[in-house]
This record gives sequence, structure tokens and C-alpha cells, in this order.
Amino acid sequence: MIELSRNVTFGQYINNGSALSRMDPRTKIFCAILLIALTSIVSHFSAFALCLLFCIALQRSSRISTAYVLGSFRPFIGFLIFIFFIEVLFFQNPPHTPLLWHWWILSISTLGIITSILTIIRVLFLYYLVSMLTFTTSLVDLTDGSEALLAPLQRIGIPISALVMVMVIAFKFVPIFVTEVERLMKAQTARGVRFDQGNFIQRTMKIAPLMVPLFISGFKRASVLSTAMEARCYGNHKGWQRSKRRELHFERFDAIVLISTVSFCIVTLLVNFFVPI
Amino acid sequence: MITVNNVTFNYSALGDEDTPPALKNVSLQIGEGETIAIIGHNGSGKSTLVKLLAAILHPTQGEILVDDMPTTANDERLWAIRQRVGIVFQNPDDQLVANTVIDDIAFGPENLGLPRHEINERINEAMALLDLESYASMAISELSVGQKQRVAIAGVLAMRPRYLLLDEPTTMISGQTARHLLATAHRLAREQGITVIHITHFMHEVIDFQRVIVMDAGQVIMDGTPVEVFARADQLQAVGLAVPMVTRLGQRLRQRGWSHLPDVVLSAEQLKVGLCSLS
Amino acid sequence: MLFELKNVFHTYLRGTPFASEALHGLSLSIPEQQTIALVGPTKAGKSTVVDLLAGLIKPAPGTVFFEGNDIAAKDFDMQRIRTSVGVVFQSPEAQIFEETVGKDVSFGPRLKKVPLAESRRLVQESLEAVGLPYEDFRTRYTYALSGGQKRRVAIAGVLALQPKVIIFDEPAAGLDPRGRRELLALINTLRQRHSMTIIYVSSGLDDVIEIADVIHILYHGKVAFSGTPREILAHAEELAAMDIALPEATQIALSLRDIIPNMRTDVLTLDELEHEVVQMQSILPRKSL
Repeated sequence: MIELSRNVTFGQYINNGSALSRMDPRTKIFCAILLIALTSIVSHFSAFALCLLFCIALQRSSRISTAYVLGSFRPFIGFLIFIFFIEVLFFQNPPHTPLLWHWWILSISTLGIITSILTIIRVLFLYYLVSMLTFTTSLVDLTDGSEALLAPLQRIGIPISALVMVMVIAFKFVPIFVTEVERLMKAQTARGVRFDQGNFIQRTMKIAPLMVPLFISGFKRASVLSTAMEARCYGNHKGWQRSKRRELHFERFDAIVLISTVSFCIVTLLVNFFVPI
Repeated sequence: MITVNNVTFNYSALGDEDTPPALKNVSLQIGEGETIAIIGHNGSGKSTLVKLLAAILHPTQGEILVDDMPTTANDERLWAIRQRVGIVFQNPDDQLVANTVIDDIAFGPENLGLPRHEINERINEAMALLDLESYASMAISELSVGQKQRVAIAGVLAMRPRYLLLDEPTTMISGQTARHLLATAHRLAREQGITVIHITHFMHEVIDFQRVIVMDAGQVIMDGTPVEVFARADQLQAVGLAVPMVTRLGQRLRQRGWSHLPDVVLSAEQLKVGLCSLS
Repeated sequence: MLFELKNVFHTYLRGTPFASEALHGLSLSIPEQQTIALVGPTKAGKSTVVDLLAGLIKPAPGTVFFEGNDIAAKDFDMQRIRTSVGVVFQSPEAQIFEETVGKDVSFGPRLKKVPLAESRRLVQESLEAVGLPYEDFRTRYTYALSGGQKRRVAIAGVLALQPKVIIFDEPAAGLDPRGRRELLALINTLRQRHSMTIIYVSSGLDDVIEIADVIHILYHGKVAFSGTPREILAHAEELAAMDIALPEATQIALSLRDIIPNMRTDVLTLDELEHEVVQMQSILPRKSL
């Protein structure tokens, strides 16, 4: 209970020098998005089999222990099973669909089961791809890559770099707030609050008194930090143009990966739509 | 040169009659290359003063000029002031922005829109001044508080400021690390000609500074060298500040007739030298 | 004996890549009605000991006895420790979350389902004990208080639980000299007027030297040595090497050892220091300037 930081393995970057970790983040992010879109579109068993093969190839080239990656799914599985049941039971069957069982507004149909399985498969792929992206890309690479990819939006007036800065700082504060919550929990435990007792709702209610001090502390920090940033000349003023120390390099390997991914997506789509079951 | 002209500051936005002003009619001049310690209790106005000097707050009455530019300017002069006056706060976590040391030190120069090679030059300069070269690619979250404070200072130095304000920077760090930090501040003043203004509530931290300003209840009550200030122990005691024990020991020994000791003993080192000299 | 710790080890985040061992075979005893100080530099394991004594963690391995009972025993309920041990953590004013002083101080008793009249009495006694008049402060808004007042309210909140022992975890951290003096005066009142058992955890000796009965020096997760304040100060050289802040008088005495090798470092006041220097004056090496 006390060691919250044990459970917050949020997007842990694993720096093992693999080719994936050294890639240009723009390519990685773009390819990840392509693959996620792909898994959301296809519905054919053979298409998913191809995607699985691609993921296996991805896993090998990342040189990250498969056990570790699969382990990161663990907290998630229970939730997925729960969602699966809810989806099947509440599935809106089109009229005249044969039902295997029904009661009141709940029902089970073959169509419902298959559709729900599809959803689960897609969610699994999504989770895997996003996890692999965060495991192989450092935070600063992720933010630089996103900023670069979204740069065209900056030209139409959307403050992309400011939003990215907000995200960077938010991520920076996650471990700091985890430590603070731990501290507050310790103090409240010492006053008699039992965080490890009670059902889900009761436990959530116990977190409530922690929110007030946490918010107050958060606002204070935000105030000091924004002042410190302004003192280092961050802030919108006439003719202000930020430069960047880091450069992103698009290399040959990136081109290979990009072309491979795009080709793979095209092939899979073809398989999905034109190969009979 | 920073000039403070008859500055009064009131925190209450509505000018609430009941709250006394945080600063009452303060006037000062700070020259280039000086090292100044400002001491006082919480509530004496010292933090308020330093925020006004950094143009973070505006005076309710009076004005502050940094190199002849008013801190109330809202054109490019304000940003010139921000570049010239660097400020480091108590808690490094509340000042550092990036993930790694090198990225955070780059933040200031990036804001100035400097070209890449110059950014790298400034980063290397700042890291060398604070012995951070071996930490360059480390994650800030893995550093100790003292190391983080050095990164915060490096980040400010990368802007090449003329004035360095340290707002109680030793509050969260202890003993050796704090001494090291202050030694670094003095070295920066000596070698780089930066004006260093150090805010503190610890008497023992002020002894190496050229000038000590004592504040109480929003006013400057003493402004002189450490020797001049420590000589007025009674006045300090009246506002709840005590001279270091070694100074009081020196006083007592002199009262016993040990006239070979200096009038005002600032440190144990001085005491030792004094004790060893012939009467 | 209130607490007995025998050869306690503890590792944070055990089994993860971030594991760090905080305690390496620590042993100490906490008797009742005394003020015990635990002093050590950062990373000495002080916070871990606090967590242990507060009933928040268990030793792994090692044994901890609370009032003679092994806390690792199957039938031992950790709540017994948590209700008997009050803890004032660092920056306690940051923990206040209720609107009014009365509500925040009564939070503990309310949780224990103490009847209203009794709860009111506890709140009143606790506020008086920290020097905040009950009638005046009971309905005040917590956010309108000064930092020092908030600190007192937080301490009152712990007192309202009627703990057998209060642990203060670096309570003077970040306070200016005046704030520190007020805090120490408050703790002294609790010691003397209310005969409370107090455990004071700190990274420097200057706070505890006047109020502690016994001081334990913690270093690298173990007790390096223990003793009365005077006995501890005699180890000034070792303490300085551990980066533990020494009281001013001892610092000066230690510094003077360069020229007076036999200088006593276990001096507690300016008077004692002066006396020592005067006594030693005959053996001072004289150099002409």
C-alpha cells in the first residue's frame, strides 16, 4: 500500500541500445499510428494473424524480455474480461438474430460474442503497440517526435509547442505527486484511516481527503514553476521564437522501417478484404 | 546597477487596511560585482524584495530600475531584465523543467532563441562552472537535492545573467552541500563578476559576503559589512536575530581582557588566528 | 519498554529493479516517558525507522516488539500500534484538509467513533496543549491561518488521538530560527507538562541537544552509537565526518582542536565553552603576527 511507486511503471523507457530505441521518434510514432489504425479496420482472422506475426517481429527486434512485456498486461486482463462480459450481455442485436440465451435486457448471441472478441483483440493490439512505443522511446524523444509531427498544426494557430511543454511538465510531476500522495497517505494512516479496508467505493472515499492537500500543493508548485520559467525568459512576447538544442535525424533504417510498415499495412488490408475465409 | 527607489509593496490586492505592507518605503542601490546577503525572519520582507528585484512582482509604490530599465516595463525591456537577473528558488523540483540535466540547462538559451552551437557552448560553460559535466545525460529525478540545486543554478547561468538572486537556496540541503553551494556562489562573483544576492535566515551564512542587509517588518534596519552588522548584537537581538556563538565568545573573551582578539569575531577561523597571536 | 527493535532489515521496492536497502541490522529500544532522539544524515534510514515505529511497515527480516509483543506474530493487529503511536510528519501543515480547525483536529477521534462530548473535550485539550485557545480557534478557517498556526493545528490533530508516544519526523526542517524556537518550546511543554514519550527524528543535533534524554546516531541503516547528549557530543569528529550538523558550541570547540588538541567538544552552552577556552589558554601556541 505504501509503495505506490512500485505500481506506477508508467511508460517506462528501457534503454537497451536496440535499433528500435535509436530510431527517429517521428517514424516510430507514425508507424505505431498506422498499425493501430490497421488493427481497427481489419476483421479477418488471417489479417489478425499477419498482425500478430508483425508484432512478434517487433518484439524480437526490440530486445526486451517478452516476459516483462506480457507482465505489463497483467493489471489489465481482469478489466478486459469484465468488459468482454458486459459487451456480450448488452450487445444490441439487430432484429431477428438468433439468441442463445436472454433475460430482460441482457442477451447472448453468437454475433455478440464474435464482435466482442474482435473488440478485445483490437484493444490488446492497441495496448501492445502503445506499450512498445513507450518502452522503446524516451520521453524527450516522444515529445520532440510528437511536436515535429504536429508542427503543421502550429501554422494554423494551434499552440502545439505550448501543449507539448504542458505534457512534458505533467509527466515530470507524476513521480513527484506519487511521492506526495504516499506521504499524505502515511500521515492519514497515522491518524487512523485504513486504506486497505472496505469495498471499492469506501476506499475511493478515503482518498478524497488527500485530494484537497494535493490540489493545493499542485497549484502552489505550478505557480512557482511558471514564475521560474518566466524568469528564464519563457513566455509569449513580441518576436519570441524558441530554438531547439535537439535535432531529429531521419536515417536509412527509419526509411526501411517506414516503407516496410506501409507495405505491410497494404498487404494486410488486401488479405483482409479479398481472401475468402 | 539595481536601484530601489522608495518601494512599498502590499500583498493584499485590494489594499486591505488591516494587512501591513510587506515592504515599507525601501530604498537601496546594488552595484555590479557586489556580494550581498539579505537576512531576516520569515515575514521580514526579504523574499518579497528579491521577487521585486527579479521583476516577478511590481511595486505598489515606488520603482525599481535594473540597469536603468524599470521592472514595470512590459515591452522587450522586461525580457532584457529577465535575462540579466537570474533567480534560484528554494525547491529545485519547482524550477526544473526537463527530464535530463542537459535538456534543462538548455531551456533558458532555447527561450532566448539562440542558434544550436551557441546553446551547446553555453551549456558546457554552465556545467563546467558547477562541476556537472559528469551528470550531463543523467535523469534529474535520480539526483540528490543538492545536485538538483546546482542544475537549477546552471540553468540560470546559461542565460549569462549579470545578477544572481538566491532565494533561501540552502533550506532543503544540509551542512556540507550548503557550504559547497555558497562557496560556488562566491566563486562565481569573483571569477565571472556576477553580482550575487543571497537571501537567508541563517546568520552563519552571511560572514563571507561583502555586504549584509538586515530586514525586519518590511524595512531595512542595517546595511553594512558583516563586521559592522555583527557589532550591533543588541539591535539584532531586539528583532529576534542572534549573532553566531563564536562572535559572542569573542566578545566575552575580549571583556576578560583578551585584547589580541579582533573586535568582532566572524568565524572560528578568525578566533583561532586571534587566539594564537601575541597580546 | 515501549518498543524493542532487534537486528531489523528493510528493503524498499524489494523485487523490483529499483530496490534499495534502507536498514541493515538496526537494534534499539524506546522506553516510556523519555525523549529519544534519532539523528542521522539523509539516507541513514531515519524515515524507515519512523515507518516501522508507526506501524506502517514490517521488518524484513528482524524483530520488532511493541509493549512486549512481537508484531510479526499472527494474532498481532497492526492497528494497535497505529492507534498508540502519533506521528507528526515533515511539513505537517500540508496535511490539513478540513475547513475549520475544530473539524480537522477532531478528524482522528471521529474516525475512532469517539462520542461527541468526549471528542469535544479532546479537541479542546489538544488545542490548549499547543497554545491555541479553544474558543478562539475552533471555528477558524484552516486556510486563513499562518504557517506556524497550521503546524500547531496539525500537531493538535495528532494529540487528539491520545497517543502513547509521538514521533516528530524532522519537524524543524525549513523553519527559520524563530519558528524553530517556538516548535522546540512546544515540544518541551509536551514533555514536561504532559510527560509524553517523544521520539524526535532529525538530521542535525542542534535541535535535540537540549531536549533529548538519549540520542541514537543512525548511519547506513544501523545505530552507530548512542548516549546522553553530552556523551554524544564527545564524538564530535566522527559526527562531523558523517555530515551531521553539530550544535554551535561543539562546532567551535571542534574547530579549536586544531590549536588545542585536548579541547573538550561536549560543551552545551556558551558559558561552558568560554570556561573551557579560558582553562586551556595556558597551553595555546603563541605565534607572533
